[in-house]
Amino acid sequence: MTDQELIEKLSNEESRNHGFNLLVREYQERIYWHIRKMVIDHDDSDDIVQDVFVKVWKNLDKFRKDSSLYTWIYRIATNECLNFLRKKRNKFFLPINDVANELSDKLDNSSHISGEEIQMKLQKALLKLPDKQRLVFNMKYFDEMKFEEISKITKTSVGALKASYHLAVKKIEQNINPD
Amino acid sequence: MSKRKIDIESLKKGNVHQIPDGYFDELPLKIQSRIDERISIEAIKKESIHQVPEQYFEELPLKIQTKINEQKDTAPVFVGRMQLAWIMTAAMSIFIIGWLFYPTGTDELTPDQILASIQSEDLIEYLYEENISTEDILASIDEGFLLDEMGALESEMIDDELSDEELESIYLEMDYSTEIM
Repeated sequence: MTDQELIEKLSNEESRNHGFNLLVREYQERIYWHIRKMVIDHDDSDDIVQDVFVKVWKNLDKFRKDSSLYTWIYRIATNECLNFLRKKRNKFFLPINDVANELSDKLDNSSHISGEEIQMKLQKALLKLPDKQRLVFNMKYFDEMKFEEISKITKTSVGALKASYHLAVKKIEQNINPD
Repeated sequence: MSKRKIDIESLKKGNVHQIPDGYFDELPLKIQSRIDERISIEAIKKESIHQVPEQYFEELPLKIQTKINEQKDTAPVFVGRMQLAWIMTAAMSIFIIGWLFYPTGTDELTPDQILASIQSEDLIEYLYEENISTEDILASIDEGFLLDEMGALESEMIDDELSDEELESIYLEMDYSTEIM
């Protein structure tokens, strides 16, 4: 189903519920994985992904139809992730490294983690990046999004994103190749 | 006694340092193996290492729907522009009906009091059932009065019903640029 078809269903009060159900099924996995890569823990991701779609539902009338539905939902999810991580830090007055350590422990101890040693190393190196740099890295590296798409979601210039990604790659490679 | 001056040019230029036998034969191999050992992120598999419980994505839409329904039942209903218009027209129609037909007297309730005791949801339901058009109601109401009432209702909603979180979500589009980067 195309975005346009979904938007038409969502615009019509009679088909809105059905349209929303289709929208959730269409985007839930991509949005979940976007969140999961940022907050690591499945239960936290589960809470956030539900909140994201509840917000989507509540704000459907504010969606500007000239932009992409996916970009809009992705932006809401991104904002929710960053808010979640910021609240976590503020709640316990934790510096960035402590939150990174906590997430790193979750990587070590979660039953919902698999993968090779080097992939785990990459994940842990990623956690040492600032949240927003990690976000850009995830979207470019794992989701293979174009900088132009990321730019629309993050409202950041393509140049700044390229610089951020380049720095992230450099830091990660230094981290996984310590000497 | 004068020291003998040593002319640096007259010294033998031989290397006093020694290296293990065959060192330079092995060095290229060592360098290559270090290069091979160095990991580029491009060489790492991009598959996610995270997993989800079985059937998670099959069940997620229902969980989201349940959460939306729960909020509809317990939390104040979010009122959009269209709903606001319906509530206003419903409120106005009840007010006018009450004003026209309700008997006056000191012991009787005023139309305002009656209106205040009716839930917004009941008003909306009434309007749907009566099938009164918005235009009909608007045509019979003084515009200035309507705007005052709209303003009062909007400020009441903002003051009493919308939580900070809901307000934040309303302004999500506007404040997002300050959140990122």
